[in-house]
Amino acid sequence: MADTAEKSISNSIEKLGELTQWLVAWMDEHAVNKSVAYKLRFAMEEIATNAVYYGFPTGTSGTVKARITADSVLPKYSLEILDDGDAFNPLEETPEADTDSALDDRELGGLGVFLVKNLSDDCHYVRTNGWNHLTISIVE
Amino acid sequence: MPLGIEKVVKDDVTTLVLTGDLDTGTASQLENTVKEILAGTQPGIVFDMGGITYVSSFGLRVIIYTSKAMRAHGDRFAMHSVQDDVMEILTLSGLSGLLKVVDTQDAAIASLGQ
Repeated sequence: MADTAEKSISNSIEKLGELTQWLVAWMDEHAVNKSVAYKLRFAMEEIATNAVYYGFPTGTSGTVKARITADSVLPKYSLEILDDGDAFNPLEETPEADTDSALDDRELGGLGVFLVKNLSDDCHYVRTNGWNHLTISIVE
Repeated sequence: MPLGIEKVVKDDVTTLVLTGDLDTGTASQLENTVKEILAGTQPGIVFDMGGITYVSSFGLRVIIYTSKAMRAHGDRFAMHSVQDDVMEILTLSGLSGLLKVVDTQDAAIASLGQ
């Protein structure tokens, strides 16, 4: 049995907290394991924040959506993040994260997306009908 | 959850006892607090992370910022009592080996040296 919930916000920085509150409440309700809950929240905030900050041409309004699905059999959680901004695949187009160099040489860009890839069991991107669609799966 | 920052100054070390979430919305509060300390004369900073349940990539950026800024103050920056989920993020980021991350306040103070 799959259990799905969805939340939409406009592409404004002030609205990002609403997505987090929604996801955290849903995970509490579904008693999601603490470590998995951390990873899902980290992934959603990273991808949604990047979309709101960089994903839309200046001054245009748009939508960022998150959809969470629980598959109780495995159990496995799939988190989809959608936005109708510029076509952008964060998994391919984000600069490579720098996790090896000394602190002084570090470029900070790319670290969040690198962590999302490493925290999830699977993640993939598609562009359909004008929407960026990133799906992250984590098995509990 | 909002971020709580309690400042405890002892000798020449400022300890920030942190609670709640260090995320996209709250990371700038910590950055501002660190900047205030850097503007003063205290040459040591300790983050007590025991009450921090969540760190986003914005939170990591503030930790990296603090560590870099403290290079000019004899590298006297340490963190302690990091929860497991947060530690996993630090480790994956390759930060755990670059920062002074220890178990207790006493160990943090000791790691700063003089």
